[in-house]
Amino acid sequence: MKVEYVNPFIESAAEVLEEIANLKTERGSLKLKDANSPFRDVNAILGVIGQVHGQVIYGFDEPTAKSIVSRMMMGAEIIEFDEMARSALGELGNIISGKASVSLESAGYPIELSPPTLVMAQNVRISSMNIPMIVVPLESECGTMNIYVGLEESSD
Amino acid sequence: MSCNILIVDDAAFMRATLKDVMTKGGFEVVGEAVNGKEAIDKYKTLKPDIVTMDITMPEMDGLEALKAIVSLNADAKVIMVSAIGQQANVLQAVKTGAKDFIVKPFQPDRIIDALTKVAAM
Repeated sequence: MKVEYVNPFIESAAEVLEEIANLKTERGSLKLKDANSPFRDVNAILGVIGQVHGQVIYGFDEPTAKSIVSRMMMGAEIIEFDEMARSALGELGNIISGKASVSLESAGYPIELSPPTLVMAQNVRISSMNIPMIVVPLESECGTMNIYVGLEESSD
Repeated sequence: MSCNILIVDDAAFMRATLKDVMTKGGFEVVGEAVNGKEAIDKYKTLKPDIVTMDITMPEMDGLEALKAIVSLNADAKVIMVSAIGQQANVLQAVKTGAKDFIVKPFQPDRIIDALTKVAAM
């Protein structure tokens, strides 16, 4: 797991949040995720295939997810995670990862992304199939968003 | 001049955002589709002037749908609107017949400029 796979996702997340949610973020310190620790309450998961493969997961606690989605939707109050709110969060993951994929392509790692899957549950464990994950928190006035990147180079 | 648009995107949020931008810009949204297959069906029945097409979608992706729509009508006006602005995707879309390629996230003006330009083609 190289840091050069992680950085494009973190940089892209900060840029996209500022552009579509008008939200300034501050990057926390990078850590290796303990494989047995649970994820957050709301997670947008994208599969990655290509020169590198694995998963990227954007995790939030519920109030943070609601407040980011609200900002994406011109301040509309989010009471329940309905189809519109869920698709906004999925689209956020999609746009961040899409932007990161352009940086990865220029760095010599072309990838393809699956459409996002949303997992909402408490104490959820998601297996990354033996690929270690790095987690980086992005802090903002909405709360903390965790970016989990578990990617490894494909063998051929 | 009236200009009818078909929006194709699997995310309800993105369809709503695009519809809002287009309606405010004076364009009429005549339909929405959530995947490539539905896009082809609605293209046939609604006969829109312009289609905006996402790429990564379940069932059938936007590049396949673009190919099918261009084979139905060689003059079809399709604008790709995708988060995946990798060179290979952009090249393939333009080669297949897309008139423009907008990378998400976008500014509303970028959408209106592209629609105005493509409508005049």
